[in-house]
Amino acid sequence: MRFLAHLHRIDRRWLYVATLVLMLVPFVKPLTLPAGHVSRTTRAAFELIDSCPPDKVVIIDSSWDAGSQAENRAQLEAVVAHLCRRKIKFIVTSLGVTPLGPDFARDIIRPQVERAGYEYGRDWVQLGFVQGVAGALGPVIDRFSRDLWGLYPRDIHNTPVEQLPLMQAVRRGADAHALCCFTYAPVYEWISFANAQYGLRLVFGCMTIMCPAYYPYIDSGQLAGMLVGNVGAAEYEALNGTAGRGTRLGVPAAFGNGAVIAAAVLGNIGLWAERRARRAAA
Amino acid sequence: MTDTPVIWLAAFVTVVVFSYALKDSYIYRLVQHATLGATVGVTVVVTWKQVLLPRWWAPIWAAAQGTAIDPATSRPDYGGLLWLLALIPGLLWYFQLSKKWFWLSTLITGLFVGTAAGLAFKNQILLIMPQLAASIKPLNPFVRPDPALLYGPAWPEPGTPAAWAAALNNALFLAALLATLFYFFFSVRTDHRFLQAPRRFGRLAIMVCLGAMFGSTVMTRMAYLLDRLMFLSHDWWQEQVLVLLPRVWGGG
Amino acid sequence: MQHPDGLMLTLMLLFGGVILLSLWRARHKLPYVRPIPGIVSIEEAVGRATELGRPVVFAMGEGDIRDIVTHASLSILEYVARLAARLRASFIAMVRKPDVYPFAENIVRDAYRVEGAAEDFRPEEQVRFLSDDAIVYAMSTARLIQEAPAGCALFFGGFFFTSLLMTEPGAQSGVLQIAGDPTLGQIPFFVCTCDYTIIGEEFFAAGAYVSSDPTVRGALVGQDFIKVVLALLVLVGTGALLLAGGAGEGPAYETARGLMKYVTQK
Repeated sequence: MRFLAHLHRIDRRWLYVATLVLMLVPFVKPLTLPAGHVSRTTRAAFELIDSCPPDKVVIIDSSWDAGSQAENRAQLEAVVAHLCRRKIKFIVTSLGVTPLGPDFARDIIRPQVERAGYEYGRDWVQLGFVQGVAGALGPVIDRFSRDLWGLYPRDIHNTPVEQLPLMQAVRRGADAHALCCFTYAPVYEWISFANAQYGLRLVFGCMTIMCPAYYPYIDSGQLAGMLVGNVGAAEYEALNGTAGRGTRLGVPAAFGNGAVIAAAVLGNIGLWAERRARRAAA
Repeated sequence: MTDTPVIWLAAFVTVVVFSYALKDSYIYRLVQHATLGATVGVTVVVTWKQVLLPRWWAPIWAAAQGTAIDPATSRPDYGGLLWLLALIPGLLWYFQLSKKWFWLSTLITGLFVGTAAGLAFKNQILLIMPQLAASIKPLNPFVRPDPALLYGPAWPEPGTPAAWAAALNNALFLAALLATLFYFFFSVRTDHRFLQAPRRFGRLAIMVCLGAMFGSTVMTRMAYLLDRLMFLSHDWWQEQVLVLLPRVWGGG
Repeated sequence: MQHPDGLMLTLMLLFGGVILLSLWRARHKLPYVRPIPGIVSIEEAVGRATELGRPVVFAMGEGDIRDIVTHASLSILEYVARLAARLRASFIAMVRKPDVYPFAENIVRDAYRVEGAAEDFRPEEQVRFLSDDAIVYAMSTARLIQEAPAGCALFFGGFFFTSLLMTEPGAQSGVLQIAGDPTLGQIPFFVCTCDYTIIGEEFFAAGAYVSSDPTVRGALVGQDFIKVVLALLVLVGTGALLLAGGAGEGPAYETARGLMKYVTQK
């Protein structure tokens, strides 16, 4: 019992080291884990994008930078890989969250579209950043949904949008087949303005921490699908038949999470043993 | 592609920040302060480059130079100069710095607060009303509800264990919803003994939700750590160190 | 739900009417607000900091002045500043947004004046703004709490991913910490690192609890009433669906269908 009580008082630095070592193992010796269950939210997202007809486009709102690249990057990579495999045309925007969004998105998208033989302006377009006010993005998203050309008169290369062939079919954001928003925590205005008022179907790619906030909107049909962190990216890659960043991060993440669960269980056993010992002594 | 010095600097900063988990140090503080300064600088530059320059200054400059052309008439368009008017409400914010003229800044503050409140109302209604409809759930496991009134997955075959499970799930949902709402009632006394049970259940439901969020949080933090480990192992170790070392040794 | 103007107008009138009626009633009799443990403990925390001779650190949330949460935080700031001024405790308010700064400064100045301690107020030291950046704000607040060291640290407002950065150092060095955040995102961190946490709507009720302003308290009563209306709608809908059974017609079925159609405007 005295030994168990010590578990509660392990120096936290040992836990850091143990977690780090465990997570580094898959980097030194690549391991694979059996493919797991694909969640309902990821499957719905995949099926929605997969069902995009040839005359429609998908809009990707890539509004992440270094602060959330840990999970948003793998999500964007997975969805762009799917779009490129299915030759689906797409538009990239970055609405209101971070001015660095377009740069981070371009670095991920460009190699993939080059490999897939996409032509800029015809198969894909990047419109750039639009300033918005956090908490008051409603008017920006409203205009995005009803007048995309007005919101973005020029693309990121300063070309007037009317000169871009792809944009001829998409004068309003609501004309798109679906919108995928990748950011730390997609704003609710996407649901309340773009989906509720204009019927634009939405897929959110968010950090794992934010996902509990969005599940209610899946059940009510306000959100069509959701990619939850790197797990969502890995599931998406499994459905797409690719093995990208999400899949690669899956094994070390499983090791790290396992270490945290083990530490939580041991710590609680230690706490229980300590209380028991104290009660026995009293 | 990121430049070599940037990768080495990023790797150094990453390792120094990780060192804080073991011990606070002078070098950690140095990096911390440098980050603070750099972040402020980057914000200023990016705001100018990505926002003010293309969306505010460029139309003004083009109109002033006469290079902005109205596509309908093919004549110079001076409408861009109107953007100068944006300076007036913008400058009102700066009266916050003056004790005498502070009241002028409240004009713009009031305008923004009012707009935000109006938008928030619309936002909340459009968010919550479909939620209200989705909260009306079937509870009878012996009948198949009309699909038009059903949210979420399809209802199982009536009378089967799956239908019982679905009905139980919905009953639990309803109880948690009402108990949580009740927990957040503030203008009534809730210390009556009959009211203790729903209050406790409401608190339990909130705690379960927070537990789920905390689990998600751990996964996110782990993803942050992994992102850095991936950077160190791939971008720095494999693409820099392992490439550079043979050159250094070979050259030596 | 394409542009549900009718629904929006109805609800605006209904909710607006309820709030106005509650405000009118509150003027005649100040409504009761039940105690919230986190808020009740603020007095104890400030008292303890005074006894220890250490500063009370109040960190505002990360919303700007347009955010309604910021206004609720400012009313709690006023309460804490008055408490600190009354007890002659050292008090430091950290502000994240530049447009909130002058409001925070005015509120703390007024609090010191009302408590008869106007000469003790030093704006440059007591109301601090460093940069409009989440990480800078979090790091500087954490550093202040750790190095001062703070007698107690209070975090009120909407916080983002930096909440743990801010509260962890204080938790490690045993500073009494109280946090309040109306959004759920950061609450798990606060629950782990703070002694008391005010969650969700408790945050807005906290503002009403510390204030004896009939307007604030009346609005809270109005909100409670709206919650009752929404809960009743769910109960009526669920009851009607239960009564309808498998039938695709009849009054119960029509009630459930009509309600769902109306609220979703589909």
